[in-house]
Amino acid sequence: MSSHADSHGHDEIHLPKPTFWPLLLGLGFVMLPLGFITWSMEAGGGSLISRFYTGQAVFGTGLALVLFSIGGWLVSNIRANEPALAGVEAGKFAMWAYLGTETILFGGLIANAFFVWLRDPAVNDKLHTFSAMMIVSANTFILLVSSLTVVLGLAAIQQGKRNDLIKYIGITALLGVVFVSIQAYEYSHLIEEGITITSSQFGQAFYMLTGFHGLHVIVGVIWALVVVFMAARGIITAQRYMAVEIFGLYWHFVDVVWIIIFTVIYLV
Amino acid sequence: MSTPSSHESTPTTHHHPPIAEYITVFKWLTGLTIFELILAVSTHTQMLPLPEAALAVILIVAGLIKAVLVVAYYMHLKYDSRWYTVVLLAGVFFAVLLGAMLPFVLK
Repeated sequence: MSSHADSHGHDEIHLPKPTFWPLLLGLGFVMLPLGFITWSMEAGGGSLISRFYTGQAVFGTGLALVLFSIGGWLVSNIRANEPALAGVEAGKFAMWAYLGTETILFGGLIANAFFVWLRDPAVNDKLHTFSAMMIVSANTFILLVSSLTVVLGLAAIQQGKRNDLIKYIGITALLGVVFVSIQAYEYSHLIEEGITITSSQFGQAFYMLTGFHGLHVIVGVIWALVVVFMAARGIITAQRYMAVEIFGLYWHFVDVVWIIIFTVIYLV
Repeated sequence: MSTPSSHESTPTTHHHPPIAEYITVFKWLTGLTIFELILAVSTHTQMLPLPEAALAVILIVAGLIKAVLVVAYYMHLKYDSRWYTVVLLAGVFFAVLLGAMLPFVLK
């Protein structure tokens, strides 16, 4: 990690105060797929109690933990008069560490969907229809544009243009909503084609992967709105914009994951 | 530069790419996506007699180039500390390891 020189020329590492919120957030993100997997596996059988309580309870608790810890983390930072994820280099390092774990998670999900897809060539024709590929391509373009608006927003606040930051990050949130809406439309189209979460092993892997990615986009939209709120309140300035950089890392990562999903699952 | 304290965020001192660079990267991303789409559609509709293995290799290489462009320029990994790259590559390593093991455990 790099350090900053103070007025006396000494190197000084700036670290945020210890907090337990990231641990809760990580626990929540672990519980989400575990609950989802348990829920899916029990959908075809099992006792009434296990079917309705085990998977759903774990998934629900994970979701609640994620939302609770994100809110708690933000509130604790705002109360401490610090931007979200304060600590210049430490904050970015923590975000990269988190993204490293997300890389493992999505790597596993993408590989799982790909290998299951190889054994089920029948779904090939349904995923590779012209209209289906156009819909997904439009969604890919939307995410690419949203990544551009994030970096333009960052560049704007670096030049002190707060209104432009609000405009660009607002557009990013809007594009995220459009992405999720188009994904919902795509789901309805695939369900009509007979690809459901219980129809096959591929259906399970496909919806697990794209649904989990969609969940990340939804979290990103909420996060973008928080950044807009912070900018509007003057918490983010030309001198303090680390919150935008941290949010940008998350959003670009979600874009990168989609770039790989688009290529490996939809085009190949 | 003022002395950083626990309640004051230090101004970032990293290199900031010019906006023109962001636009150039976006053009490459869009161009590669259009290239991928045209190649995939023409192959799947039998307009282009390309073997599936060749299509897969070309598309995956194009996808990886796009991913690297976003990570390097939009996520500033090209300009930031190498420690971030190390952390990300550790994740990529374990992701590849997990993916390589999957065919042996999938039923």
